[in-house]
Amino acid sequence: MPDIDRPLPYHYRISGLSIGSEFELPMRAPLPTEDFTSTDVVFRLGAVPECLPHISHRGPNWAANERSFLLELPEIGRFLCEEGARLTLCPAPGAFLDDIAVFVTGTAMAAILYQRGAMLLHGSAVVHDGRAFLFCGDSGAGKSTLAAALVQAGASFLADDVCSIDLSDSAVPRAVADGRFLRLYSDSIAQTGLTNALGSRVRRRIDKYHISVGGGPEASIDSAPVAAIYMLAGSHAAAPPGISQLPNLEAAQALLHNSYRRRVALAYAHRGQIPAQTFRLLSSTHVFLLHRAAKFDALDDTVSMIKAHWAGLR
Amino acid sequence: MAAFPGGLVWLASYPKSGNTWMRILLANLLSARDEPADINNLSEPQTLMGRWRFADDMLVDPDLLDSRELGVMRPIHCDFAAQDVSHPFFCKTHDQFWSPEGELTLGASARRVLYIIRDPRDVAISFSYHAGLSIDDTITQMVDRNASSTGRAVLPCFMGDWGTHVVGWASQPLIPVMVVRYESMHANTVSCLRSIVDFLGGQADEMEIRRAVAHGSFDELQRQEARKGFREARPGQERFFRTGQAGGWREVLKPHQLRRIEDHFADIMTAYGYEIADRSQAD
Repeated sequence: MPDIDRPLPYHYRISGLSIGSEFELPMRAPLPTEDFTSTDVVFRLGAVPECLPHISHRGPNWAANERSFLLELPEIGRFLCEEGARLTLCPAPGAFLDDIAVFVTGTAMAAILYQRGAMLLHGSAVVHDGRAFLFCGDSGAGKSTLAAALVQAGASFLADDVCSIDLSDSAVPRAVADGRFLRLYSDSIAQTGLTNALGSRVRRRIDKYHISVGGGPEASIDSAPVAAIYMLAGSHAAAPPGISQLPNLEAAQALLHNSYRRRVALAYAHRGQIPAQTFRLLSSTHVFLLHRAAKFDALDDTVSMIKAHWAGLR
Repeated sequence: MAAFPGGLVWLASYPKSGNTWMRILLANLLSARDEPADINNLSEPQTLMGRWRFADDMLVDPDLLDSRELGVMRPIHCDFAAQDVSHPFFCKTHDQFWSPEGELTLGASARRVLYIIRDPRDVAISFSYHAGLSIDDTITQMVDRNASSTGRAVLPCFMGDWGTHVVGWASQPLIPVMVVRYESMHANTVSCLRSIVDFLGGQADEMEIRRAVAHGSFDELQRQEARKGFREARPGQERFFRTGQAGGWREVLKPHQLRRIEDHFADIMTAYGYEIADRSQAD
């Protein structure tokens, strides 16, 4: 039977798109089939080629052309993303689907979204008084831990790791949830007091866990207007804790640097027109550099500093 | 103006062996400016040891990979970066050349290796200050074949023990390597830097080398650190650029500490000109 005839038993909503999937995505609640009138993106298991023709961009383990994006993660699997509509996963021998699905909803889904012209930031987001606040930073910068601490201090969780920016309303860019749970290392879970919200491991052999932070006054919303974007940085003698606004050029550079899977964004830059997207985002919101001591015992001080800053942004 | 051929050069060493000093000397040589290079702006985002560069190039968050997957992907990453780079790219590493399973940890496509070796008895003192460990605990780490480290911004690093680290890099047959003794750098920095430039196929005149050495002097590094701090220092560490001494171990190490280091590494120390001090070893 050809691949395209096999049924798609699982339905999800990710970053505003309806997904029909041949396989289950862990820690995401499937939506009832009857609620789905159309499918934007199809996830399937199947054969994936080892290379692409007419490559325009490439990296050590990936390649992109006008129509397709191919990613190879040794020991994990190969991922093919086509036309912003079809994602095919070919697991490596011995790989378990529940262990590698995180890469489907991470890099591979990002490629699908970029093929559709999306703008994605590498950051976490929380909502307070109906406004979204984003926290961008490199892997290990503490984005998720800070989001968790802000949720504990009364904000609502919106996004972790990747935050999609909806620019369809030109006046008010909105941060959109992708439906994933917050993910934290066990030491962060203990420090932020979220042990009661502990979910499954993100991967079988990784000490990182899904955290269910469903509470908060705005728990049910899946998007909110972007009020401010913070770039996380450590503090040291020359840069003590504090928040300062970045000039527009530096803000634009910081946004590009913090694009989620920056090189895929650049491969499909013409689809979304990154300069125009950045200009529109910066015309209605500001980007701030947030220096803070990147250690657990300074979290409360950082949360107080951020909440005071929010009050000043009204 | 000083110039080097394009391509990746590993600046490899066991920790606290003069790697950062070497990076700063080369950065000053390449910048060819009247003022010293900023020690807090030494091209960190590009380092192949960093989590950011790995995630940016490989499109996967290293935090989501186990050690086996990371071990397979890192050489692929480093080889691609080495083949892709057209400018001179000096990259610091404390990783061993071979993994415990005998696989390449960082690939084999770099054009040269500068391996910096320092008397392990001085390393023990400097490393103990840096890591905030006792000297005995530091020596335990230096003789541990499975020693590794990690950090917020850097990828997990497999260091192993001091002796295997030296032998792995210095005797690997895949990349041309020059072993530089820290003590020689200390005793005659200008002449040492001259021979390094020649080994790397670079060009630099006498004045450029002397200026780079002056701009990378310990006085200058300590001055910058006192004024602005050093972003690579361990949190809470008083000073990264401490004394830079050679031979300080004679006043600091206790006999049992000396014996432990020399028991483990006497052959390699002797091969690289470090005289064995403990009488029971020498006899």
